[in-house]
Amino acid sequence: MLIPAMPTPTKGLTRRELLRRAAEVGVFLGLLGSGGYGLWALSRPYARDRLLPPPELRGLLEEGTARVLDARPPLAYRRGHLPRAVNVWDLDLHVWEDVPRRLAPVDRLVETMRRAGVGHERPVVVYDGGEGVWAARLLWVLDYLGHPDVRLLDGGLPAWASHGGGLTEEPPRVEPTAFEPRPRPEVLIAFDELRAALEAGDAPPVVDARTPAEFAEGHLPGARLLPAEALLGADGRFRGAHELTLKAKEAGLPRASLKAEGPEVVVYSRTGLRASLVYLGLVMLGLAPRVYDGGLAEWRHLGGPIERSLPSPGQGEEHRSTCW
Amino acid sequence: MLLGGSVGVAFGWALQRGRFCVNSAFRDAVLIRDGTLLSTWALAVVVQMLGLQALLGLTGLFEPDVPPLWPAANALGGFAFGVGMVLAGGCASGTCYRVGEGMLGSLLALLGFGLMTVVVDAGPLRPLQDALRTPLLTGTEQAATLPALLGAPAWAVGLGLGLPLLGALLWQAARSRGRAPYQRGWPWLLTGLVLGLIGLLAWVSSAAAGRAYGLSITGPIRSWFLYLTTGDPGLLDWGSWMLLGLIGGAFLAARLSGEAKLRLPPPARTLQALGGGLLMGFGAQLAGGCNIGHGFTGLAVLSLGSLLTTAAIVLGAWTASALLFGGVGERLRALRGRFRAPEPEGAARVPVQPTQVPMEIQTQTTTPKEGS
Repeated sequence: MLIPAMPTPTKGLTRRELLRRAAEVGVFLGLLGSGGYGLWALSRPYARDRLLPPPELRGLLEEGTARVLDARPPLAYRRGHLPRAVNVWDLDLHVWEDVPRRLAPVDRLVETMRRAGVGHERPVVVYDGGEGVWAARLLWVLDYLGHPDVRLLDGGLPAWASHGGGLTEEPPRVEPTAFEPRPRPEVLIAFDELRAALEAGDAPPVVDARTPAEFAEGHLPGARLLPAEALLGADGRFRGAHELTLKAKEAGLPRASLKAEGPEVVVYSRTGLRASLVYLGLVMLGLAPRVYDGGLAEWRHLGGPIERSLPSPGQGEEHRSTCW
Repeated sequence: MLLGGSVGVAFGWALQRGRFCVNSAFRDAVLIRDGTLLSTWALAVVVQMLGLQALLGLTGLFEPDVPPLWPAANALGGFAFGVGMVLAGGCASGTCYRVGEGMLGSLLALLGFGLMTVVVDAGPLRPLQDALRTPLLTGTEQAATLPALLGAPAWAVGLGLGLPLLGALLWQAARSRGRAPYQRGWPWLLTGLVLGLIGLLAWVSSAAAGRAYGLSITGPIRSWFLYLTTGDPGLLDWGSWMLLGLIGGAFLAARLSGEAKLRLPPPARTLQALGGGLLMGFGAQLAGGCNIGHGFTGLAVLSLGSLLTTAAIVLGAWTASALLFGGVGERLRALRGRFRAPEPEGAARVPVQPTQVPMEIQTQTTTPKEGS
């Protein structure tokens, strides 16, 4: 293919010509290798996919087996929501005591889930208005309660709308369920444990899910920056597995191995909302993230040590090139 | 690093074997009315665009970066770049592959190019860049592309534009000679197809390295010069290694074809190359890209900014070639007694279609006679 179209006799090639053709083949193979690796890497799936692509939602809704939860504010919910979706809002999951947005006691969470018709045997789909954080927070709460199958609608309602999906104002009829929690404390880490681990120097890597500017103003000692907003593309959908892996690598996080148990990581933000989005991203990469739910708000309130340093060069901010 | 490097080597190899230089393309078009290299360019763009739009339309593998539309910067920068590359005797890609061939004039142009990208981007001319880079049509949901402007899906616009153009090029291929009259190496059809394929694979390889853009030259040159002056390793990316590979690949191809040789143009020409390089760097950084970043890769994503810049480059190159080569060529031909009556229609600045390329003005493109 790459051989020049000059009519050249097969025999009587000079040594240089032979060498040139060999090099030509080598260069071509290198090119194909580079492109081939790119294709392979970019189409790599998540280690544990927890996303529901909008086109698949239609079939799921027709089947009617999944419980769909709407994590937007009640007012937005009432103006139009997915068919048979039940509203579970921020205030149903959290309490504001001393510090903002602390996870509500388990019995209150269970009560909320029972009223929403959530059961262990039914898969759950959560969604929000495309922000990602609200739905991710709800997903994390359900993970904490031990629900085995929760997925997030990728891109939220805007993505659903761009695939021609419609909304309804019809309130769903929900049969309360007997939801029994199987709490998984391993998705959570409390102030005392984290502080003790940091002081002892055996804490897992700590990830700050806030913006680079917030990070620069003060963060947990030794924290690495992985802004929640960097996990979503311009269309509000999660970046691909490969891109997410690169972001995690940039933040200096350990790679997930093929073992069932991924390496442990601690994630926090100001109140835990953005941390939940990063939690979801890291879970999909095969890591075992634990959310420090109190976040920096509680850390400051309880007098934890604060470190001030800039994120390492280029980290966290989108590399907007000034030329191509 | 390996990803970018291997694509770069292939790119450099193909550039050298195909003698792919947009500046030569214009010079040929103006001076000897030969559109072979222009066709190569068009074919490479079309192949890359069709491949990319099909790939993204079918799989949505990644989200391509789209250069924004900065009307003032694109137009002015593109024009300056076009004039600069005629003076320097090579466009961005042409200059790079000639550096691999051992042309010291091109090396000087490349150094001037790099210096000016940093001067404009991080030096005293930064205010100018900021002032001229007023975006148009950004801030809306979609990037400033032709499909967004037309409100049609990208793949449809890509196919609608690309297929007829591809047909026209192939039709022309059937009737044209394979190479530019003076040229040796690959026939243009092969060069165009291979460059298009490299452009396409570059997108994929680069995206896998976290850089959602294809081949480019201005960005990587800037990254090297900024890296060497600031020491921030975060500036080096896929493109930087691609550029190194490009020069290495061009050297390898030239060496193995017996075309690599250190050559220094006459003093005046050397100075002209440096001046042209400075002007190219100024224009390319201002416009946000050169004939590769905009005129090759940016066109594949149908960026409006790239379309405008490319048009400005064409205008600048055309103006400068006509002034420089038109006048010079005429004098040369007069000296040789080959002057013929000007053709009545069109091409006022190019009154004569010479039967042979005046070798004197082609010191930068002709290759040494093999075995001589």
